[in-house]
This record gives sequence, C-alpha cells and structure tokens, in this order.
Amino acid sequence: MRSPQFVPPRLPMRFFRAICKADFLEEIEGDLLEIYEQKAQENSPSKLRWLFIWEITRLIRPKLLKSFIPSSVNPFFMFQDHFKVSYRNLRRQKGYTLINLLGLSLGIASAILLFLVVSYEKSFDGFHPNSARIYKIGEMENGGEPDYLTKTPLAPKLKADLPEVVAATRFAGWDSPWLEAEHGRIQETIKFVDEDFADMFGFAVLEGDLKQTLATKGQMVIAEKKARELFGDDSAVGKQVKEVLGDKTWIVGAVLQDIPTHSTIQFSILSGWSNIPDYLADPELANWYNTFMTAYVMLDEYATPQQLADKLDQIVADNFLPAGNATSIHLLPLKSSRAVEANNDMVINLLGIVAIIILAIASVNYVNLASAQALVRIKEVTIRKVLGSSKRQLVSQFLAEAFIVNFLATLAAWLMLFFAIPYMEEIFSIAFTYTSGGWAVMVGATLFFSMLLGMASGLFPALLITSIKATDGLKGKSSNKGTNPVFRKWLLTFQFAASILMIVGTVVIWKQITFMKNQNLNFDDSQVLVVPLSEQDFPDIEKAMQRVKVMQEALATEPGVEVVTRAQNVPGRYWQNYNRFSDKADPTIVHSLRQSYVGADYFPALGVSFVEGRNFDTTRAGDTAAVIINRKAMQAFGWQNIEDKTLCEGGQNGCTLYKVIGVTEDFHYQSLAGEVQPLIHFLDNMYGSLIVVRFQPGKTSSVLARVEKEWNGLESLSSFDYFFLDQEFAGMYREQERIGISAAFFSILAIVIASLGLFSVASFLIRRKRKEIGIRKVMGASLSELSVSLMKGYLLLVLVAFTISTPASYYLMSEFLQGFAYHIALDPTIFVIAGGLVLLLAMISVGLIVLRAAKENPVLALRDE
Amino acid sequence: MKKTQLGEFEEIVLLTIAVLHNDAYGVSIKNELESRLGYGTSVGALQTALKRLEEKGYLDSAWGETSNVRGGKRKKYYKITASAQRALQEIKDIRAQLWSDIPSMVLKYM
Repeated sequence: MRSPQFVPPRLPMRFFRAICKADFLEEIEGDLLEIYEQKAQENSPSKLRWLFIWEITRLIRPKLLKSFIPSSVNPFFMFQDHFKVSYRNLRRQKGYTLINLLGLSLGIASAILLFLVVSYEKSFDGFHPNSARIYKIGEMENGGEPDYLTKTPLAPKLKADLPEVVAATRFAGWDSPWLEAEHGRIQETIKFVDEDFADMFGFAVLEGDLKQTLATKGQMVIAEKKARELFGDDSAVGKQVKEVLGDKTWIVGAVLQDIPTHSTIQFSILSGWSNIPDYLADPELANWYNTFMTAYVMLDEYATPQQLADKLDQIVADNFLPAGNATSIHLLPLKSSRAVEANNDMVINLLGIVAIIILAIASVNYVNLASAQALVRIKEVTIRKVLGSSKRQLVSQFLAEAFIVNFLATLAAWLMLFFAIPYMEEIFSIAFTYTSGGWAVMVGATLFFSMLLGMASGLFPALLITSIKATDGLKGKSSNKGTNPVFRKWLLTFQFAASILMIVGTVVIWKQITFMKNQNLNFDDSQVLVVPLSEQDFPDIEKAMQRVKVMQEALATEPGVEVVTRAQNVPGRYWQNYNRFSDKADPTIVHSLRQSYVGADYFPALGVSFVEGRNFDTTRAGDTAAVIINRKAMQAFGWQNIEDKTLCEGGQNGCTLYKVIGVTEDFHYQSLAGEVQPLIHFLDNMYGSLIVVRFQPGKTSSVLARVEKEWNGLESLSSFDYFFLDQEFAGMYREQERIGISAAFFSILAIVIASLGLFSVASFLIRRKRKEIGIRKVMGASLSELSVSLMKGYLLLVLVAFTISTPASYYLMSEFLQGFAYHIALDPTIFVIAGGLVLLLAMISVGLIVLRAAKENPVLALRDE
Repeated sequence: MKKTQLGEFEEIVLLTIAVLHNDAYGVSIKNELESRLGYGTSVGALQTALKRLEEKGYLDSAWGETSNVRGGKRKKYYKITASAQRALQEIKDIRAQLWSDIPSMVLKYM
C-alpha cells in the first residue's frame, strides 16, 4: 500500500534548497520527506505545514548552510583585496573622487539636515502618552476656517454631557504679575487650567503632586527654571510666592521640568481653575457668548471627532448665544496643532521634497560618474575575468567601492553638520532635542542608510561593467554599447530638470517676499516708535495713567516729534479680539468684526487715509460713542456711505449703540499672507497699552533719548522697552524669509552638485574623444564647429529637462502662491530665467572642457598610443 | 592518553548508530533516538551532529539505493569507524572506573 502522498509546502522547501549545502541536500531532503510522509498520517495539513516550517527553521545551522562566499577564496583576503583595489582606484582618479565625495557629502548633509528639521516639526506634542487622543477645541462660523478658541463653559460641559470625553481642560490667563520669593523676582504669566490637565498631558513632574496642586486653592505649579529664579537651588515645594503688587500670596505645590520647545502648550506657571482671577470669572466674559478661551479635550480610545459631530452640533444649538447662530465646533488633533499654529505644513512637505531631490541629484552623480568610468576599467575587468573571477566577485568589487565612497561621504557629512547645526538652529529658530545617545543613533542610522544608498547607486555601474564580454574587452572594443549612454542621458536630464525646478522655486519665493514687503500698506510704517506699557507694572493704575498722559504732553513738545498717541494695537500686533455687530437699521445683518481701542490721533500718526467721514475728535462729546470702521467692514454691511449709520455692539442682553463716523482705507494691519479683514476702532485716550510716537526723519536718537528719560519718570517695574513699527511689521515675514533663505541655500547647493557631476562626466567622456577631435581638426574643422558638435548633445538635454520641469514647477508654485492672499503672478520669464541659468551653467561646465580638448594640438592626440 | 572529543549528544548518536548496525540512516537514527531518549530531536540537530562526527573521522557513510519513497531521494547510511569504537570504549572505561571508585556509602545514602 502506498502511503498518502506528502507534498511539502513549496515556499519553505525552496528556501531550504536555497540555503542548504549542496552536498547534504539529497540526504536531508530525503529524510525530511520520509519523516513528514509519516507525520502526514497523524496531523492535519495546516498543522503539518507549521511543523514543517518549524523543522526548516531549525535546520538553519552554520554546519549545514551553503557558503555564500566562493569556497575557494578566503573571504577576509577577498575583502582586503576589494579595499586595496578600491583605494588605488580612488587615488588614481583623485579629481573624480574628490568631486564624488564632495557632491555626495553635501547631498547627504543637506538631506540629514532637512530630515532633522522635518522630524523636529513633526515631533511637536508627541511626547504626551495620550497625545493621539487629545484635541484642541476650535469653532468655525458658517463653515469657514476654524479659529482654535472657544467659550469658557464649553470644556466642562463637554466632559459632563458626552461620555466619549474622558477629560477636558481650559488653558487661559494673560495677566503677568510680578512675583517675589526669597531668592528673586520675576514677571510671568499665570495660566489657569482644570484638574484634568494633570491626567491629559505628560509634562514631567520633578517634585510635588501636579493633580493635587491643581485641585488646591491658593497653590501654583512652577517650571524648573522659574522656580530656580525664585528660590535658587532650594526645593520650592511648600514655599510661599508673593505678588509684588497687592497682597496676594501663593504656595508652590509642584515643580515641573521646563516645558520642551517642541510643545505647542507653553507656560511657566500653572494654577487650578479655582484660583482664577476676577477677569476670567466675570460673567460679561465667561459666558456662552464670548469666544476667547483655549481648551483641550481627551476622548476615550474608540471615539473619533467625526462620530461626535452630531452631539457637538446639539450642544451648540442648546447653549451657544445668541441662539440660532451658525457656529460649529471643530476638534483639532493635538499633533496637528503645530502645523496649524505655525502655518507651515506645506513648507515642511516642501523641505522634505527638497531633501529627496538633493539626495537624488548627488546619487545620480555617483551613478553617472561610475558608469562613465566603466570605459577606463574595462581592461581591468577583462583581465580579472580571464583570470577566473566570477561575476559575483566583480560586482562585489564595484559595490565595495560604492560602499566606501558613501561611507566616507556620510562621515564627511556629519563633520559638516557638526559645524552647520548651530547656524541651522538659529535660522529655523529651533533647538534639536536629541540627547548625545540620540545623536549617536542618528549617526549610526545614517551610516547604515548611506550604505544602502551605496549599494543602490553602485549596482548599476557594477552590472554595467561586468556585463562586458571578456573577448570584446581584450580586443579593446570599448564601444559605447556597453556603457548605456541613453540611461546616463536620462539621469543628466533629471538633474537639469530638478535644478530648474529649484531655481524657479527660489525665485518665486523671493519675488513673493519682496512683493509683500514693497506692497503699499495704505499706511506709513516708517518713523514710528512704539513703547509698550503693562498694567502689571504699576501699583496704582489710575495714577500711572495720569502720569502717562503728562508724559505724552511733554513728549509732544520735543522737537522732531510729530504725533503722540495711545493704542491698544498697532499693525502687526492686532489681537484676535472679535465682537458681533449688527446694523441698527436692520438687526438681522450681523458681522463679527475685529476690534481695537485707539487714541484720537492714531490714524494721523499712522498716516491712514479716510475714504468716508472723519477722524475721532476729542472736542466732540459724542465721539466716545462713535466708531471708525475700515472699507472692508463697510462692504460687509453693504453700505454705500455712512450717513446715519449706527452699529449695535454685543448681543446677549441687548446691545450698545455706536455711531459710525468714519471709514478708513483698508490698511494692512496684518501680514499680506492674509486678506485684510473687517476692522472696527473705538476711541480711548487713556488706557491703550501702547504709546505711539511719530517723529521726523533724522531725529531717531534724540527722540528715543527723550522717551527713555520720560519713561524713567513713570516708576514702572519693567525697564524701558520699545520697537519701531516698520521693523515689527517686517518681522511678520520672518517665516517666509526663512523659507526663502533655505530655498536659496539648498537650490544653490543642488545646482553646484549637479554642475560638479556634469563637469566630471563631460570631462571624462570628452577625453575619450581625443582622437576623434584630433582627426576632425586634421580634416579642417574649426574651433567653433568642434565646440558645437561636442556640446550640442548636452544642451539638448537641458532643453528636454526644461520642457519636463516647466509644467511641474508651474503647478507646484501656483499651489504655493495660493497660500498668500496677495501674491505675484507666475511670470513666464521666471521659467525662462531658470532654464537659461541652467543652460548657462551647463555651457560653462561642458564648455571649459570642450575648449581645452578642442584647442589641443591634434598631433599629440593622434600620436598617443 | 589522547583526548577524546565527544559531546554527550554525539556519544549517544554514535551508540545509536552502532545499535542500528546496517540500518542507520537519518530517519531511523532519529526514530531510535526518540524512542530511547523519550523526546524528539530536530533534523537540524541530528544532521549537525552527524556531519561533525563524520569530519572527526568517527563515521563512514555510503549512499543507498534509489527508491520510490522519500521523493526519490537516496538514503545515506552511516557506520561507526574503528576510531569511534576506540573512543566509545575509552569513555565507557573512564566511566566504569569512576563508578567503581565511588565509595559505596555515597551511593547508599544518596
């Protein structure tokens, strides 16, 4: 009787055959089959399969394995030989080696750097264990862009009403009192949070109990650095902190490690919600109407914001005031809040793409150069083949070379980074948070990765060279056939195309920045000095404000000073302070307007012109109940003029009437990245937190000295601080400039690397044509004819690259410009300039070599044997 | 005395091959071992021991006939060599010597 036929699982069997030493294969395979034919009768097929796989696994023993190194060669000596030959070859071709190393290490260094920046941005808020379940609460009206602020009672309400919300905390407070303890004095903002804060976030506690502290009245949590300023090196827990103004005292309940820079939640002092100051508890503010509160919720493990949408809508409908508004709640994953806050999602992705492009350009250089060099090494390869070298050995020789070059390049890259990182941290204003161990892992990882890169980039030249027939090689038939010029041409084209893309990108970004800076702002930001005041700095605010008034009058008499006024906000520093206004004539027209309080001379001080009506006038009693809006606000209400127009402010318990007395031109009070929004100004000559001084050109130092002298008479707790409006306003473009600088830097780098590559490949190939050039010259070809015939191939590639990259860069750049409300048009000349620049660089790189080759005395070339 | 290098598992394998006499090949050795030891061994472990013993000169091997079972693969039969016999004898003697030298009371009260 035949036993049931056992069919061994195919894949494990093939694996076994692949790894088992050939001498043992028949015996062991026979044994296996016999054993498993037996077992097949006792076990189910699926179990048998697993048993078999397990058996195979246990056959992986050094004794039974095939040797993967040809058995006749001692592997150590073979590798030693590889290194020796590689070293000699690299030494012989010093120039190419240098170019290769330089290009690769620059490429690798920039890729690592960009990777670091990208991963830093992506690392934000990831250190909380519950990070994935935490959301920041936002609100949007009529389905517009969400603002990540909400109303005071919402967070506790969500926790109470929705079982999916396991924890919720508010995060608010903007008073910065001066605080005093035994060792020192600091001015710091106190943030107030709910108890759940301790359960939601993973900030490291050094001392004390965070949750207990937040639950206790009169206690605060301090970050390590501030605790040190207050208490020196002594333990802070249990000690008293006194507010300098007033008689309030706090007890320190816990000390936190300093908040990491890659946290979007930043604070130095925390306290529980039971300690909120009057302004946060004020029913005029802390209601279902005013939106100003930052708050977070933590969902349970299974809930998603999408599932909660209906319930959230219900909460809005039941509670939000005024009833029937079109607000909806939006939950933003904590991990995304950095990208939203810094508005740099696209930039970060862009940097990632740039990193890949640069790395690709550098690797392409290696591939190109190595395969061009194949022409020279045909004899070496042929001799090796004739002497009995197997293809595998030859390939491993070339791989070893790629490997060595990449390894050295990575080491050089880290050396460069060692010096570059401090500058980079400054430019991107970040601090990499790796520990020294983390850096070691990074270096190791990049070395490993670079070897993979080496393998990948070494494989093509290796296969190319070794595929040349030994007989052809011996006959000296070093035809181009073996070296695949088509593939190389595509690689060159890719490099040109990438270079054009990067140049276009750089030019567009800089044109956009220049455009924004030079755009008419509809106000004059030069010659304006701004001095901030803080209520926290004065024991008696009323007395202090009287003194400031005197100071303003004194300043107005200083020669060179044109206008002195007060304001709550100046362009570049307008708060996210909105209120609802309705048209008295038609209360159904309601708009949310950004509001600010300004002194009567604010608009003249900034040089803002009026399109309708007039400025505030302190001599008219009615102007305290008057407002000035901008053109956008007038358009929002659909008015043609402001005759008899009155706005009604607020909502929940009736509203306050304000007469509209003027409409200003739409001056750009925020970055040109965003559209000008409707704006409304109230009159307030007394309490604005900024002193605004317009002065005449050339009087900067004398005016500044006078302001400082007057300031010292105020007896403020803070020292004198000021800024110039134009500098402050230009500061808003710092993020864009940062992108611009890095784009310029990296595209120059990419182009340099690509040109280096082109230069060396071309010089290599043209040197091979010495005889051809010699013969052409003898036949009477002129220098220019020769140059054209040698160069036209390369220039054609640039044209191909131009046609490929133009649509790609057009698409990418129009996407980029969409992010700016006021942007430049994509001018075709930008593309032409970029293409022309690359063409020029290619002509220079190749031209230098061509000229040298073409000028050579043909006798030298033809005699050379 | 020349040093005999035999691991415990190798010794048992050698003895098993001697027991099986003319019928010692991979599967039969494995089955015999399993029935005598009371636990299974993997093909890998056994084959490693066999190859090592053969290298040390304790085993001779010869291919058997082709048959229909085993997927048409030949068996490889193993025989112990004279030096293996000597080595086994040596180990046995050393052990016997040790056993006989144990004071009787030790065994009694163990």
